[in-house]
Amino acid sequence: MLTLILREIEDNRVHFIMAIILAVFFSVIIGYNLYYDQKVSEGPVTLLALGNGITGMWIFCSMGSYQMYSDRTKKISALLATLAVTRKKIFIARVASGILAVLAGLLPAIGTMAIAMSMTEPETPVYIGNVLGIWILILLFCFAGYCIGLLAGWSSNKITPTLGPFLLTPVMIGLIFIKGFELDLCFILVLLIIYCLLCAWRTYSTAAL
Amino acid sequence: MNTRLGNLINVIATGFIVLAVFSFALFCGRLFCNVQLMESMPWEYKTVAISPSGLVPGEGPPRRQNPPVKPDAEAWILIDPNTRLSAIQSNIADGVFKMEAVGFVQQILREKTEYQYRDEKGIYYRYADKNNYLLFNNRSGLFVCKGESSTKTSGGEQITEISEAFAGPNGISENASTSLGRFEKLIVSRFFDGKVQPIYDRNKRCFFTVDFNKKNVIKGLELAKGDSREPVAMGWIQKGTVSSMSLRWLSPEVKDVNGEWVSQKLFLTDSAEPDKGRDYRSLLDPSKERITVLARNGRIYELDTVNWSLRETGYLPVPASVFSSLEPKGVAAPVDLLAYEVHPIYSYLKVRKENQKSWDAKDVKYLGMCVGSLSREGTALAVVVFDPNGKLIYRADTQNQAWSSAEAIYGRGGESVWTLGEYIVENLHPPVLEAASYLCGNCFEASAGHRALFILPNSFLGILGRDNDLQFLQRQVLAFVLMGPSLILSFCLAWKVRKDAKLTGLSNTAGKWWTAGTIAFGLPAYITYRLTRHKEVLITCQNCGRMRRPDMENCHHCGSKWEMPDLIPPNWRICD
Repeated sequence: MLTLILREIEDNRVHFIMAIILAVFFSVIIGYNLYYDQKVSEGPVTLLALGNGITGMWIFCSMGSYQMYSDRTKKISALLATLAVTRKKIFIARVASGILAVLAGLLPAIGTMAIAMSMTEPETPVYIGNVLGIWILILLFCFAGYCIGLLAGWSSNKITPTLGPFLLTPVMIGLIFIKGFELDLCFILVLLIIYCLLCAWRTYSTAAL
Repeated sequence: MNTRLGNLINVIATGFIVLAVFSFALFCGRLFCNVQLMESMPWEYKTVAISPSGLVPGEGPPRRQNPPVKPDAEAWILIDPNTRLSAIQSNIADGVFKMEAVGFVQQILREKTEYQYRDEKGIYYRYADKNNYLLFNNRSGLFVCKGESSTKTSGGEQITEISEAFAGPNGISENASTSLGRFEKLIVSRFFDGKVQPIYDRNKRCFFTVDFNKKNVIKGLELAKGDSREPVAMGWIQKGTVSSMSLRWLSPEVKDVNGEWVSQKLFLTDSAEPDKGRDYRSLLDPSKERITVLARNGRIYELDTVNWSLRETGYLPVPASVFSSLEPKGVAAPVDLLAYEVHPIYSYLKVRKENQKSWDAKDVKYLGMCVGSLSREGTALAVVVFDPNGKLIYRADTQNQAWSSAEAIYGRGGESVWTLGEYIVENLHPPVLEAASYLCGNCFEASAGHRALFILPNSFLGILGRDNDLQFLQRQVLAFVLMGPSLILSFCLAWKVRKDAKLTGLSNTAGKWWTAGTIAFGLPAYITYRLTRHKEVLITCQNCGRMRRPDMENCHHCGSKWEMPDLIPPNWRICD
């Protein structure tokens, strides 16, 4: 399993590099803002998290789409199946690499924010629960984007894997603006993730290799 | 995963995604139409100006200003060039739909208006800096008042001391101790002086006054379980932000010697000092002895913290809706209103304190109250005036001539294309969700209705479902008429789905489920069917001549099997 995951990371190194660049970029902005300005308030924190999430979502969506599309066109699973690897393991490894990419893209920014907030005195009291809630939502948001990419990627035509995720992501961004960082949006995102993963697994497990 | 389960998951998952994307697109359509309707509605329908307000003795009864006053103009009436009467001015904000639809902005604005700040310790009801605050600590259940005080030593040196006091139901102490008891589930009077804080504990069902100056906690009125007077807000009663509505009470004014307008003093004959001019104050009692309390049922009370009595002084009026009469009767519950504001008006004598730096309020008299409430849909505003005994003396709604603003927004703006657009968009929603909007649209808090994606409390059907003016049968018939296009569309699509299901060889059960689903969910169900149906190319059956599926053993029309020609060996053989 570890070999499969490492293989997925190697195959998608471009996306991982983009996620790390994103993480570094936002970490620097967050760190500079919070440490040098010597103040913390929820407005800028929310906007930075949102910016990080929206940019990350495009990257992870394209990663999921690329993984499935390249598998279908390059017959990667067909080759791996000859090495006595089940489809279940391949799919789990793929999803695990997606989770790692999302964490790589967001955890550094979360960590930087946590450190900067602990080092600075807030101008006004800030409820960490709210900040955590926003980041958990952004994590779910990015992972949902990745799952949509997985679902749209397994298609023989070139348009669905390319445009499908890019049409769905504005809808999800719109949901955050409409619903705010509320619990019902978390519920919608979790449902979406479950449905996308089940659908993607069904399509992948029943497709002829 | 077996095929049947896999298909079911595929259909449900695709249906959910299609419904979410479709609902989002319809939300954007509805919001666009609503914003255009509000912007094109004439300003006369969005404002209420009453002058005189009827709350100042000697000015006469309240009267609505006609012609209407523009939102950015002042509402005073001049009785002579140097005197203007008191006035009440209220209007619906232009950006009400835009602001209410953006949830995360509302979240930030709401946190700032409901309480000052919050962190892991608890809620700050006053925060100046880290050494100066009033905090309710969630964990200990105590109020914490921290402040700086300066004292001068005998040598003239100034020493700053930071003091901290903890208050519970049983008293105040300089140490946090369990003997002080615990407060839980509080309603705190907004914008009161932080050192004297009236509160209501919902668990104990009791009012308290926490006084850090006198270092005591006074237990006040206790309400019985189920008492309808249980408060939801105290002090400055306001819901919503300036993006929804505004309500102002303007005191009477005169020109001074410099030609500047200044507040006119009030002289009351029944006062202890009738020759002394009194000032006005709205929102909060200058003596801090009386607090306005809003109950869950929409009634407004005055709580006297000296003898601990609750006296009814008014209520939240029900604004008009597109189906209701011009001035509906009844009391609106706070959750059913998008915004409201309560302005009790007081007059008082200003008396300088001994230190000459600050002043006290003496002989405070309650003059009455003006209340403004904005309907759930954000299209109608009602302003009412109550006398000091809580009797309604005047009501004015946003309207012009015989049309209320709730009706005018859809018909008088000259932009009926947007009304039609909104109606069409609402009818593209699944019929089952439309029916849910009609039946349970009032289960949602008013502000949440503007961000609804699936069940629409602010659709025409949702408004009709809440309306109590129409008779039951009238309402049902009108509901069917409003849902008509949606039902026709669903039935047409269901017929198409049924026909296609028979053609493509779907089983009878599956066909029935799809038909029922399409009737219930309309266009999203049809799109889901088209995305998830079998995509095999049909070929002609040699028996009946109709199109049959190649993956099935028997023709789903006539039941004939595949005709396979017999294998006839050739006459020739291959020899060496």
